[in-house]
Amino acid sequence: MILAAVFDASRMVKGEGIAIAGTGLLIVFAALVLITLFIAALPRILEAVAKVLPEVPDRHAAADASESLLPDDAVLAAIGFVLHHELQKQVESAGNKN
Amino acid sequence: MSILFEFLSTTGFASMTWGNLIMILIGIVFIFLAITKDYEPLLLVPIGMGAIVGNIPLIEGMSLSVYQQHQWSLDAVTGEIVYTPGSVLSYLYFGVSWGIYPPLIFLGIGAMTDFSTMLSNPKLVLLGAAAQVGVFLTFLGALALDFSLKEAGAIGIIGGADGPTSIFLSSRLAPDLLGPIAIAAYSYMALVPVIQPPIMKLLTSRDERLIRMKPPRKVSTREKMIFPLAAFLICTMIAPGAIVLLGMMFFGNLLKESLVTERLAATARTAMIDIVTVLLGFCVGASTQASTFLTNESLLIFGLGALSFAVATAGGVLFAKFMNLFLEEKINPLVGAAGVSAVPDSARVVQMVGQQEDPHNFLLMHAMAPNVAGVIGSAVAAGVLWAVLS
Repeated sequence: MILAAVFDASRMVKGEGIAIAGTGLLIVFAALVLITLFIAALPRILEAVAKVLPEVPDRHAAADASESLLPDDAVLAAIGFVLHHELQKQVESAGNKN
Repeated sequence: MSILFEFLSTTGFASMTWGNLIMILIGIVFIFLAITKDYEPLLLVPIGMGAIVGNIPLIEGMSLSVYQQHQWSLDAVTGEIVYTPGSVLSYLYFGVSWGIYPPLIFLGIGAMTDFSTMLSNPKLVLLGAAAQVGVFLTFLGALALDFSLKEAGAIGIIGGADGPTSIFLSSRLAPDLLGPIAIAAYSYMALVPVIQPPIMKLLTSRDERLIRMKPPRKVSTREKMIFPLAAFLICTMIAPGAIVLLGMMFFGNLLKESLVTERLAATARTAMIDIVTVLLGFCVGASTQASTFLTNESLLIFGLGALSFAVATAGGVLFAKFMNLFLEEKINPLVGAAGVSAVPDSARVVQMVGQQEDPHNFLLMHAMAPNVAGVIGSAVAAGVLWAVLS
């Protein structure tokens, strides 16, 4: 009731409220559409650049790649949990069949 | 005996108001929700404790409140300039009232964000834009409820579902409403798992919720390195008001992806963001003194905040359905709900709702794309509102 008494849609028009909202949304879309287009074009741009400047594996990237081959403790824990969970399910279902 | 009575009159019990009591209870509820329900504990525990601290009745003559800032005044008798120091909390609160903490949090967010899923499926970025409809419709709603243009802009950004952005913009446009806006933004971020699922289910059919999406492609290191620079240039050329937030976020991401500043990135995404989160949460909580917080305006802001989250969620889901009209490889419309930038909670909600229909459908990776795009979108929206309304 109180809300209905306070609410006045005509105030949206005053002070160019609707114009600001519309323009604001348009600008947000414009920025993100441009980012989308850029991301979509990036692999092709890099492909073209790679012909002139081929990507050489630098030491930082190499170090990063070698590190990524070794799963860390959290990953090992997650794999262990899933294996345990699946095993338990199989044991339970086998028990139900029996 | 008179000294004892005098002392008793200065205790919190003697000067406690109903408002203080309500706010202390709200603080306790926040801490309870964080501990028992695991709702955003990193935010709700500092905010809840801050709310309790900020609502202990003040002793006259002692500088304790976040609002008791230092000041210079002219002594009318001696003509000398007198300096009165502020309370300790007021110095910590400078980071909130001057908008210092939010960019630092954005630096940490950038250093921990992996844009790979977004780079592998760029069309999902548009869902982050669609969800910003919540910001602008709430802005209009606030205008209709007789808030000024600046206040409406600050309230509208709650729909961006981004606490630091809300604090940053309200500190610039409507400092008086900073407390309720910050509390509303963070409370609703914590309540994302409650607010979003009913809207997502209401707007999608079972068949749509069962849609499986193609796994993301592998993104090269070069792409990840170039993206923060290019995205920053694109966004801030269009909306220069977003320089502070997006500059820090993409800087943090560059620290992470450049592979040569891993130490700095590690600090930004761990120790630094934790320290700033503690200070920000506690100060925002402490700013919710009953006398300034328990007002009709605050209630309206809370109502508008809830509405903005719902509209933003609906905006993302409906836009995903709209995109499906033109796409050969369909998007699961649930992913649209992650366009609100509550990272990573809304992406987790997408995963949860998707798995209720199909336990073997993994939407989390796909939902992270609109989720991080939503962070960019809400920062751009804040930049636009700041530029237009200030």
